[in-house]
Amino acid sequence: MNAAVVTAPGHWAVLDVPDPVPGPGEVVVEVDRCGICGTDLHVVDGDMSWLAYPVIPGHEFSARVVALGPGVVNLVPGTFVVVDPMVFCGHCAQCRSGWTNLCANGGGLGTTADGAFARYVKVQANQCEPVPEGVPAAWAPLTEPLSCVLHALDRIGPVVGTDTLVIGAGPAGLLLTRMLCLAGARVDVVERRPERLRTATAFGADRTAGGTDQLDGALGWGVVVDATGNAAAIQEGLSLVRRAGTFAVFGVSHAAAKVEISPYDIFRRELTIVGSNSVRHTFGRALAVLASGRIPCDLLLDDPVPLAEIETALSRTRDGSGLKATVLPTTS
Amino acid sequence: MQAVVYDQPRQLRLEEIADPVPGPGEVRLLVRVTGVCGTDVHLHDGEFFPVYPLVPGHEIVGEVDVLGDGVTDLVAGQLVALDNMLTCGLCDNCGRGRPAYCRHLRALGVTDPGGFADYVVAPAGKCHLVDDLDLDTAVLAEPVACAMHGLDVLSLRPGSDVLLVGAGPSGLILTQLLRSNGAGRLTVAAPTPAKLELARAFGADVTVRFGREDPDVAVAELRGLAPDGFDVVIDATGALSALEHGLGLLRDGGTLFVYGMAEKPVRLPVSPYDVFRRELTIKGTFAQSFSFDRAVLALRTGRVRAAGLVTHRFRLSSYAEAIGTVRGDRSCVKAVVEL
Repeated sequence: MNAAVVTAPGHWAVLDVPDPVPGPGEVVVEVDRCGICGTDLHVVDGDMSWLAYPVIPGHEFSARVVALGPGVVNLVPGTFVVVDPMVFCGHCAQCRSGWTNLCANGGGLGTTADGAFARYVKVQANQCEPVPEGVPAAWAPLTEPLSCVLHALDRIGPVVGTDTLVIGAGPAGLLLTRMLCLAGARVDVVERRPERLRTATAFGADRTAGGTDQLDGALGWGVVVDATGNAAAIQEGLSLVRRAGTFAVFGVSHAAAKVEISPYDIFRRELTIVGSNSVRHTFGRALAVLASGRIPCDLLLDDPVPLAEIETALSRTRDGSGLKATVLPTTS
Repeated sequence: MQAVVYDQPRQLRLEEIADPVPGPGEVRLLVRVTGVCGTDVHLHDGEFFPVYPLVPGHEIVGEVDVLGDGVTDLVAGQLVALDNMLTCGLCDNCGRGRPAYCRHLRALGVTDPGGFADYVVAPAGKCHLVDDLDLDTAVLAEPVACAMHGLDVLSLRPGSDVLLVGAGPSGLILTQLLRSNGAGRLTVAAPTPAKLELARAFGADVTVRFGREDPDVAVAELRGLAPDGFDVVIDATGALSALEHGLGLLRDGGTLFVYGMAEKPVRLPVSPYDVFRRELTIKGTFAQSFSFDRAVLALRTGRVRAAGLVTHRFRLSSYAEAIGTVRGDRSCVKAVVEL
């Protein structure tokens, strides 16, 4: 099969590789569409020191089941599914206390195991979630980023009636904006790209601006979420949280970046800083939200490209000229 | 009456001032005992927004003495612990149920005359009956209310593996509350052996001597106790090194709880990538909020005991000595001024 393979940090190519074969409890799925995410760029660039290469990136995907390994009883060939890319062992201290997304031995499809920039992917049968009626095929790859957003909302806690600030209106920031609105928050969005601000408004933002200096937030915001991973944005965002408020670290920073926090402020202003990493028990809910039609997904999706043109999609993700790029690995 | 009065930082005197008179809805208390707290040391130094002339003292227990007009639910002679925070009830933060952040907050002993005096005047509704408690127990009502609010903010998951750094009065009160409110294992780390002994008596499962001179030994011991890290690390010291070590001792998904007050300029370097990847939570708590009645209940039921906590007793005339003791005497757990 054809796959976009990162052969070594900084080096990738579309290559012909052997088709995967399902082992016990596994299925092979034929990828319909796979979204591109900032994490894929980190994999391509070699920013994650613990990854082994070669690896096929791609973790936001929808697919059709084509082959069952021994013992698989919950799926039949032909089922249209989305795949929770988190891989966890189930027996480490983290898994046993419920933090499967922080598994000590785990990882994910597209990072520590081969992902979906390929015609076929081998996955655990229990990672597959059938896509319900009412979710357009083009929207299904958004299940994964939306699941991350729902997990972030789980981490943040109730937001009903809360003044909220989202920093960054990329695909994740926009989905977050929409979900915060649906969860009852009043949402302001700051983002440097004017065209994204218009999309943020369409996603339900109450106010949008190029920077927080253009918004009157004299009292600060009850919840501030960083969806950029930029240390300077996080440092500024921390100062914008109102008393007894919460700052959520949702974007992925560089591993070496540091911000400075004032323990006195944490105490005196009763601030909470909370991190949110990937997905935990949110795939089913994300599908239900997509099926409800409450997310204007069409505004988020760039025109999909065939695998052979993945370079265009990767560079649009990197330079931010698009929103959510998707590849069609079975289209030549 | 006699009162401790400041006109400026560090300039205190024992002064004869007019007896206060309760207005409508207020009562005058004959002060019996007032606790001396770290906040009083900060106020002594002019920190924490004092309004001068200042009569300090915010952990107040007294006898109802004179009732103002309209007060019907108190009787002269009753012993009460006083909730010292006076809120406007009208501003945005009061409207959000955050009285400690009232835009017009007044606090007896900070902005208004407090309990280091023969008498204090307060709204009747701020008085909590403690007739059935001894004075050493009753005087803990305010610090227990702060710790109780801290537990509200912390939202401890039952059964959590908790490390508490610090065994001063706040630490020892937290020890008792954590014991009865969901800690699966409670480890207390502090420098003073006598205080660790108290922590064990109050319910700590494990204590670790955390000497300032050689923290690495303690950190290694703590890591041995919890190789994957603690679910929750609570700092009740305000020391940067404790916060730094605490952050390093968290398990993935863990919470660093900032209970102690750090010096204002102190900065803690944090990796946002770690906060994201390990799903860490860092949160703080300040003062008390709708927790005074529960604090009195915890004292009434013995969930929080005073035995051994009050180590130093002073008269009003030796208030300066009390401040020096709280500031610098390691043998002091809780100091009180008895009137």
